[in-house]
Amino acid sequence: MDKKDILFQEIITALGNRDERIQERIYIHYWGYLMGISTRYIKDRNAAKEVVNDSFMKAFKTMYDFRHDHNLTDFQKTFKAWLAKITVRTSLDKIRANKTALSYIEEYDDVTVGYVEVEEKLFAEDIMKLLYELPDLHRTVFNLYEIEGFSHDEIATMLNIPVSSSRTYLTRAKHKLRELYKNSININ
Amino acid sequence: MKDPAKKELIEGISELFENYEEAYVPGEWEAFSQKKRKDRKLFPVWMKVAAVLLLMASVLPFLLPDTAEKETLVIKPAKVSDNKSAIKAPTATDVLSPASKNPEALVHKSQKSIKIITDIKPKSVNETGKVNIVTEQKENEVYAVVPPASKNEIGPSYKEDTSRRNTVAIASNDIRGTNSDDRSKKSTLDFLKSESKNAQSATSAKKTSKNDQWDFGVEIMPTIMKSNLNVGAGLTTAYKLSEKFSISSGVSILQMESGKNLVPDIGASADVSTLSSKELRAVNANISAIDIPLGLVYNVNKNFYASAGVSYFNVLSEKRNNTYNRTAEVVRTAFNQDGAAYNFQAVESKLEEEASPETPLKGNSYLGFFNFSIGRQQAIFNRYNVVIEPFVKIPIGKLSAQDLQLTNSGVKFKLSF
Repeated sequence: MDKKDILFQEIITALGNRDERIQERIYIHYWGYLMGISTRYIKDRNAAKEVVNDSFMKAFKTMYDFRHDHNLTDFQKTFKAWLAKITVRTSLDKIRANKTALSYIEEYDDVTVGYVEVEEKLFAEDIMKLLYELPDLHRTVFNLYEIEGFSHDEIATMLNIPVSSSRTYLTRAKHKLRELYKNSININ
Repeated sequence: MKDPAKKELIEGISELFENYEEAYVPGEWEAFSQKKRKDRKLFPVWMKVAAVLLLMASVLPFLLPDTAEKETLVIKPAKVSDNKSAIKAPTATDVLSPASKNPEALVHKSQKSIKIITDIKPKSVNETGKVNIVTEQKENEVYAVVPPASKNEIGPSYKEDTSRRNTVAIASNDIRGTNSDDRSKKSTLDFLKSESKNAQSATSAKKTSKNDQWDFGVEIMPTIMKSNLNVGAGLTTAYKLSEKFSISSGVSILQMESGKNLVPDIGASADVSTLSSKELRAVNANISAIDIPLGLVYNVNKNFYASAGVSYFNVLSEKRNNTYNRTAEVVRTAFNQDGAAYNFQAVESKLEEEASPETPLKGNSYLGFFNFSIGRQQAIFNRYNVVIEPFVKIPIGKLSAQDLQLTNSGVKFKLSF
């Protein structure tokens, strides 16, 4: 049993016993992962931290009822996915709370860049900068579809927009990202 | 040209962020746990709101002194005028008693008093009637003694008298009618009537005193939602702003069971190529919540009122069940006519219910409902009121956007005191 397995075994036992002391270990273990998610949606780092903390608050309230079949591998996946889902939803709530609606889009010239190969190793920080250049709604749809793996139907429901809009925003976001990436390589 | 060794950008980004994590920053947990402890120490939001409402309600009486003052002023004149006539009457009677004055003077007084009564019009119809009867009797008596000509001569000079003096004259006539030796049965009846009227006005004055502007009560409210019957209970309070308007508030605990059936998207399901699928068909939630209403009540009359307001809604606990329609491909065995067994594939569809770990409402507070109601109240044992109040609650803001149908209506049964 490696270190990670021991941690998950401890988490499972603590959840069963409703032992609150496990919260610290869960927080420290998943903080970085949840920050990775929230910063993709929210540019302001302090606000992203707040989202992560709010997500942990929600998770700590209900995690003792988290259902699992005591299989360590399954538990790792489902628990992590559950935390990610909470963080995504909390991020969306935060965006909604800060702006009147997640509908405002700064218009930019439509670009059609169909295929761009990755020239060298991608770094999260560099890509994050490109993502921040997209309008909020485009970035959100891109994150939800390409990284979180939600369907357009689900995205439409979550963001209260038509399914066709979700598809359009995704296409535009991809084209814009490709263009921005190409430009960044040329500059370097 | 596509290079198979190189990834496409979007694919690369997806992979990069799929399991991306930042490095843990030491001290984050300490800051989080400290904040959590602080939050625990402080009162929950709903308690703060309740405290603010209570504070507002207790400060209101001092902020609105004019209204209270006006109300008492309205009542006072009626009381005072009654007393005045009662007190002044004996002296006036002494002065103007028929025995001490000559008949002519009596005629003038009688005439004058009739005029004044028609001019001034006392508030109570009964009183007017009474005075009229008595004075007319006197006038008739005097007519027998004094010739009409002299009456006409003297009349105009009395018309010029001030109204203040005339009031005294009315009072004297009134009292003389009731206190004189030839008091009839009718005047006794009048006396009793006026006594009971005095008692009534005293009670109404008492009712409008500051202490009675507050109204407290307990309530129980069965509510019906789209498909479920729920029940709630709570405490209510109301502050009377004026005769017609009052502000009502309170706190109640609601147990709500709500569900929503999701209509399957036929177009989407037709595209599904695999035979196995899991489709969300219904959501069912059981919510316990605290509801703090604030409303404006318009009293149509003594028994009926209408109310409109909003509710602050805090979800204490929430349990959700999702019903899925699970379609799975199964292999079945059957026997043909020769008795030989063969396998065939079939699609089995069944409904499954699962508890959902998601509780999107729990712990959240909302400006939750618009409340509309009409009520019928009936006084019992003088002090208490039994109230039956049909109401409708319509969710607003975040609550209305939920995938649950939270609109509900019901009847409040309230005992107020």
